[in-house]
Formats: sequence, structure tokens, C-alpha cells
Amino acid sequence: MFFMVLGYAFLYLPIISLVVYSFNDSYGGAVWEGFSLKWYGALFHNNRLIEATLTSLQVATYSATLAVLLGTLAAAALVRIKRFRGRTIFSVLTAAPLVMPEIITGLSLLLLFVAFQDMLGINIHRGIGTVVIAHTTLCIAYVIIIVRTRLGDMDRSLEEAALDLGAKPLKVFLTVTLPIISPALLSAWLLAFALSMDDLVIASFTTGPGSSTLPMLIFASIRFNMTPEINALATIIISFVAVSVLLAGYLLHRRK
Amino acid sequence: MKGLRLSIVRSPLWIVVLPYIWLVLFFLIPFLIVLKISLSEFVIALPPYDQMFTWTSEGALSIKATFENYKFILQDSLYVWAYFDSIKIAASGALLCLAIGYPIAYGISKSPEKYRLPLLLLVILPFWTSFLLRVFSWMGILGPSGILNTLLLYWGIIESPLHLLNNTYAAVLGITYCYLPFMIFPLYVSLEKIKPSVIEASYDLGAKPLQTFLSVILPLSWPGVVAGCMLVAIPATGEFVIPELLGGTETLMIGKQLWIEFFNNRDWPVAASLTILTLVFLITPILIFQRFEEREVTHEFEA
Amino acid sequence: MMLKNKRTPLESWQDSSVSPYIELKDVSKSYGSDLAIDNLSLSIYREEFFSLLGPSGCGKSTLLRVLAGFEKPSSGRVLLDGVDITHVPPFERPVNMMFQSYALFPHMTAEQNISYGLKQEGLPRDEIHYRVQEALELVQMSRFQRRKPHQLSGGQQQRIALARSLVKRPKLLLLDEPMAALDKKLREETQFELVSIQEEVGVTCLMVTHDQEEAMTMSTRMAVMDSGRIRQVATPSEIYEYPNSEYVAQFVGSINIFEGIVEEAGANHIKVFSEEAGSELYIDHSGEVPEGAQVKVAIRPEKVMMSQTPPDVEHNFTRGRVDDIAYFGDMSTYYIRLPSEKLVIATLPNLARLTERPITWEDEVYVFWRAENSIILTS
Repeated sequence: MFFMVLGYAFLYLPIISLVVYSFNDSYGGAVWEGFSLKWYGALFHNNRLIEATLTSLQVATYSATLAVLLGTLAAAALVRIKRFRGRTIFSVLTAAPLVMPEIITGLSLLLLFVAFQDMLGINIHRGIGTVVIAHTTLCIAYVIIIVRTRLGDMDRSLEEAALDLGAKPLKVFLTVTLPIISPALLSAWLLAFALSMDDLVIASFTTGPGSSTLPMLIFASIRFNMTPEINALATIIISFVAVSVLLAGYLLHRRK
Repeated sequence: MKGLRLSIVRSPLWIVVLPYIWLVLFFLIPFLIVLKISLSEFVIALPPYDQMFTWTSEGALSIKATFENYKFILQDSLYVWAYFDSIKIAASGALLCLAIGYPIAYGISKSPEKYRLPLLLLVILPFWTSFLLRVFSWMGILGPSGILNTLLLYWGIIESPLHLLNNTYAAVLGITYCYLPFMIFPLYVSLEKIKPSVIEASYDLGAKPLQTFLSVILPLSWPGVVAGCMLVAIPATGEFVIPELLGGTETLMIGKQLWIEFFNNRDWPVAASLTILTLVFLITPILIFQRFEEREVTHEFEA
Repeated sequence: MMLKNKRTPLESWQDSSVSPYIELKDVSKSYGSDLAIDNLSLSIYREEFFSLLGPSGCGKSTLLRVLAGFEKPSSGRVLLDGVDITHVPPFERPVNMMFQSYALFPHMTAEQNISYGLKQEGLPRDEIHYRVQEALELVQMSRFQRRKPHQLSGGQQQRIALARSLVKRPKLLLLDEPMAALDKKLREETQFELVSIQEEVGVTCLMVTHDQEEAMTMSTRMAVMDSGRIRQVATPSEIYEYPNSEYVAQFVGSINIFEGIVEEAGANHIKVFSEEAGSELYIDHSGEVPEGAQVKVAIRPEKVMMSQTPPDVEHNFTRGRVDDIAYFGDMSTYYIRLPSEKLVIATLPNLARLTERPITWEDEVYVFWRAENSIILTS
């Protein structure tokens, strides 16, 4: 119990410190010099930041959606088809991105794009499209983990009952399977979205000039020591996440 | 097969085709290309490597491959040390995660059912805020004019700021902090699967709490321990952001070297060789991890 | 049905010179505002096979967990062999439990499961080995000792669980729904076997069950529980033949109950007029009921007789029409509707073949019973 409290403190104190210091008037340093909102003001006049945020939101939406589609198919295959040619390789391919260091995934994807360009002699524009491909590849593995567990726990006699009652396979999928696994699909989508929004390394490799994502911009700002502004940005992100989670929790609670 | 029929009940084979193609194209083939480039020569060009396959004027295929890049890496103690450092830091981070994460996961699994989900959510909540910002928060805590130094100076415990940031310990701490949820989750899943009656049976048969932990709870949560350590240690080995921002110049992690080779020196063949060598290191743990995952999902302990 | 009738003339619970082996004194257990056990006292004697019978949620499992030490009573005391064990932790109690779903350690073999408890006592290896083998033989599982629980069938797992809890030679063995996970046929076999093992090793047993047949078959005595309280403690035959309340009568077996008013309370008989039955009911034993009191007269279905001609009796008969017949092979249950719309249940053995059955649907019949077979219930 004591260790648990300590553990949660370890998780939250650093984040709280970010929030507190975003209201500090001083430029850097831990000494409190008065309450101020000026760093928030500076944030909203930063056009590059707004642009990067929009880019990241786009990338995250596309890759989360794609990853959920592909990942659900893969999860269904892994749960429902016990034997097919190349199953072992397939299951390695679905689990490996989970632990593969991002830098390796990023580098190898970039080299792939370059090689494509080279081989096919066409110009592959590096930007949102290539980052979406990269993030989808990363996120599929996470989607599979979530959906697979849900599908595995699902009572298959429900589908058989629907078939028995005269529903065609497609109808069964749409009216029985999908509603049952939909909470898992939603959480998989949200996780994929968060992973994509959060990624610096893979995006740095696979994007091109003019398509900087939010983490790339933050990374650059940290290096150029624009500390208080990042604090302010962190506070906004944290509030956004906290509010969404509370809202989700409330909706879930009300549905029960 | 009469056309494509979407039958989950009978699970047609085609559902596997799309994700399979995607993963082969964007996950497997890239490694082959990395392998290829790691065997090419560095040239100042765009892309900065020499072609391995070329057609000679007689129409024959000429293959040019070199192991120079690997030789270069293995002979340079900088890279060898980077590998050692990476493994050391990743392993320390994983162990620290285990030490902090086990009590939390155990505590959650023992809480009343209605509190478990909120407690778990609290564990992942920080994970939803940006990874970079979480690393950054430690810069603000450990820095020369950071919170910790300011407090220690204020209380008069120290007279000049301590050198807390930009060292290996800070990197280990950063890894522990950022990867902690990856440890807690598999641990929780395996701890939660243990039936309360099995633990009660152990008490009933005369085992004291410590005995029960060592002979029943720990062995039954072992899959979670292994999965958690893998989920932390493997990606942490290739970590770039944490050593870059917290580790300073004294921390030579392989991910950082790779980044420098690629972006600063623009030596793609050497970066590719570093990647291949890192993969060789990691492939065994990755395969072990995958087999564990497979077993966990398909065959669980029947209790 | 009764396995346990070969007992000594004077049973331990009837002998005032024998002190109880397990004693619960005014035990209560509450969870917040829920009272799981309500000021309950109970004595169990050495070598008894005692059953707690009741519907789910009646507090019987909580009582078992209090005895095992997993729950601390909110008030009251628990004594075992004269020692107060109320605050002794489970791992120091000479009490072992066989769990409902067996709770075998999934990562250990059968043999390791059984030896686990002995290892905790720090016994020498030879002795552990000897006692484990002995226990395995007792439950006839020596062949399977190297298997892990998931490689064993439900019945085999149950035997290992029994051996694991017996091998420590506990003063009290707790059995939590021991047969719940077995199918009907296996369950009946196992009931006999469990009782014979219990008699062989002479351990005192306390079993929790919701299955009344199981409790009747196996126990020396049983307690019928309802919302945290004990309604009746007696031998199975006493519970069946002389239930002390409508609750107990209904819970154990099925029973016909007629409401009525006492017309005459004699020294050795009671007369009750029941409008439901449409007749006067005569009970040939007295009870503490005043004339004019509202009572219930109960009669077990197998003690109800049927005929198509008027029976040659003065009391305890009425007329009705056969509403339904349920055929069970060895016997049939008849549902007879009286003019008051009351249904009377009568169970008759199928002595003759089905095709020659004399009474059938819609037949007008007389139902009657002997005066000594009915019971008067006041609650």
C-alpha cells in the first residue's frame, strides 16, 4: 500500500511540476517569480506550432484508422485461423514492432522509401503520407494485442446463435461480432492515435521538409531551451488528456 | 472459394492477406534493404551510398559488397562501448521498473474490483501525455537550476548545485519513468489471473505471507515479469530521446550513435550496419518475447 | 440413502460428558451494513461429518471462511479443541480446507501440490515423501503424481485437492462444495468414497453445500441455514422427518402443506380443520399449540397414498382430480387438484409397468395418509 502511493507519486510529481512552472513568470529556473500567463500567450502566436499540431492530428487520425482496420483483420486471423502458411512468420511480424526500438523502425522505413524511389525511378514525396505508413506499421502491433484479447475472450456461440437464427455471415459480423468487440476497437484506435501523436523518432526519419510533426517541434524547442513555452504547451496537452479521460469515464459510468 | 465472403465464423483466409502484405512490405523488407545498404560503400551523393547491384556494359549483373562498415564499427571502441552502455542502461531501467512496478501491480490486483480500472487508468494517464514532455519534466527537476537543486540549496543541505543531469543515472531514471506502464501492465494481467483461492490455499496449508509470495505468487506471475522486462529492456536498448536529453555526453547509447551517424555524419552505410548489429543483439530476446506472447494468448495456465 | 447409521448407541452430541471439538460462540460477521452471520453458535464433535446446508448467500461459506481463518468474525469466538483460535492466522491453524474449485497450484505437479503443506512445517524429506505417497494411495492417484493440474480431469483434481488438505492431518477439514464441479454420476460415487476416506482417517469434517441430497447422504448431522442464522441442527433423518419450520421442510425435499385452525388440542393428538384440504386433519402426537391457533400441517409426498375407491379411514383424506403426472422411471409424482384449487403432491413407486398404470390424468382420486406421518408446523 505504502509502495503503491510512492509509485503513483513517482508517476505524477514530474508532470505536476511541469504544470506548476508553466505559470511561472521567470524564464527557466525553479525559483518562483510570480504567476503569469505570458507563456500561454506566446504559444498562441506561434504559427509553426499550430501548423505542426495540425500535421500531427492528421497523421494520427489516418494512421490510427488504418492500423485498426489492418490490426483487426490480423487479430481475427491469429485468433480464428489456427493454421495457415507462414503463420509463425506472421505472428513474429505482428509482435516484433512492439519491442523494436523506434530508431530502427524509422531508419529502415526511410531506407525503404529511398530504395523504392531509386528502383522505380519515381519521386516519392516524403511527408504526411510516408509518416502515416510508418506510424500504421508501428501501431498495428498494439491494435492486435488489444483486439486479439477481446476476440479470444468472446463467446463464439453468440456468432453461431446468430447464424442459427438465419443471419448471413456478413450480417453476423456487423450485428454481433462488431458490437461486441467495438469497445476494444475504440481503445485500440485511441491508443494508436496517442502513439502516433507522441512519436518523435520515426517521424523524424520518415517525414520530409515542411511537414514537421508536433513532437519534432517540441524536440527542437527543448534543444533551443525555450523552456517556459514548452511547460505551457505541456499543461495544455495534459489538461486535454485529463478532460478527455474524465469525460470518457463519465460517459462509461452513465452507460452502466 | 466462391468469391470473398466476410465470414468471421468460418474466418476466410483472405483476412490475413492484407495485414500480411503490409507487414512484409513495411516491416520485413525494410530490414533487407538495411542489410543491403550496410554492405555498400559510403559515397558523397544522394542517397549517400554506392549501388550494390549494377549492370555492366556486357549486360551481366555485378555485385559489389563490402564488410568495411562492420569492421569499422567493431574496431572502434566507441561503438562497442555504446553497445555495452545500452544494454547496461536498458537492463538497469528494466530492473528498476520491476522493483517499482511490482508493488503497484500487486496492489492494484488486490484492490476491490471497482477500484482496479481507475487505478490502472491512473497508471496509463501519464503515458497519454507526450513522451517527450515527460522526459523534459525530468530536465526541469534535475537541472543545475532545477527543482531538486533549488530545494536542496534552499534547505542548506548542499552549497553548490549537484551535477544531477547529463549522466548515466539520469538516463536510467528517465527510462524507468517513461517505461513504467509497460512493466505494470503485463504484471497486472498475470497477477490478476491468479485466483484468490489459490493464495488462500497456500495460507491454509501453512505458508506464511513471504513463503506464499515466493512459492506461489511470484512463479504464477512469472510470465508477466518476463513480458514486462522485455517490453522495457528491448525498446530501451535503442532509445534515443532519453540519452540525448538526460544522459549528456557521457552516455553513449547505440540509438544516439545511430542518430548521429545518420543525421549529423550522413553516413548511411555505417548507420545501417549499426542497425543490423543492434538487431542481431535484440533478435533473440524479441523471439523469446513473441513466443511468450503467443503462449499467453493461446494457452493459459488452467487453474 | 443413509450411510451413517452404523454409529454408536449414544452419539457424541447427545452425551453431555463429551465436550464439543469445535465451538462457535455468538459469532457475527458483517460487511458494512450486511450481516452475513448473525450471532451464531454451533458445536461440532470429534469425528463428525457436519454439513451446512442453505441457499446461496445464506452465510454458510462465510462461516467456513471464518473457521479457516480467512475472515475475522466481527464479534464472537471460535474454539478448536478447547483453544481459542479466533485471532490465529490461517497459516497457523490446524485446519485445512478443500476449496470449491480445488485451488490447486497450477505451476506444481500433483505431488508438489500435496507436499506443499508439509514443506511449510519443515518436516524431514523422508517423512514428507512417505506421507505424500500415503496420501496419494489413499485417494488412488499414485499413477498421476507427476501430472500438473491442467492435465488432470475434474474428478482427479478433486482427489488431489482432498489429498493435499488431508496430508497435513488437520484437526478439522473444511469442504467447500466439494462435489459442485463433478457430474451427477461421478458425484454419487465420490460421496461414498469421501465418507469412507473420512472414516478411515477419522478426521472431523465440516462441509458446505447447497445440495440437500449430498448433505443428507454424507452427514452425521447437518445445519440448515437461512440469512446468517441456523434454522435447525439435527441428524439428516430428523431434519427430514421432523423439520421444525416450514422453511426447513420446504428446503429439504418437497412437502405438502395445509393451512388450518386447531380445533382440538388433546394430550396425545391434535385435530386441525383445514379449508384448503377440505377436511379435518388428525395428528397423532401433541404439540404446544392452543386451540384456535393458526397452524400448518405438513406431509411428505411419498407418505401420501392414493386410491380410486374411498379409503377406509376416519381422518386425513380428501378428494381431487389428477392434474398432472411426472414419470421418473422408478417412481411417478402425481399432482392432484383439490376442489379448493390446492395441489397435493403424491409420489408413488412404479411397482407395475407403465402400460398397466391404473390411475391416469383427469381421474377422480382419494388421497390419504396415516396420522403418524403428518407434522404440525407453527412457523
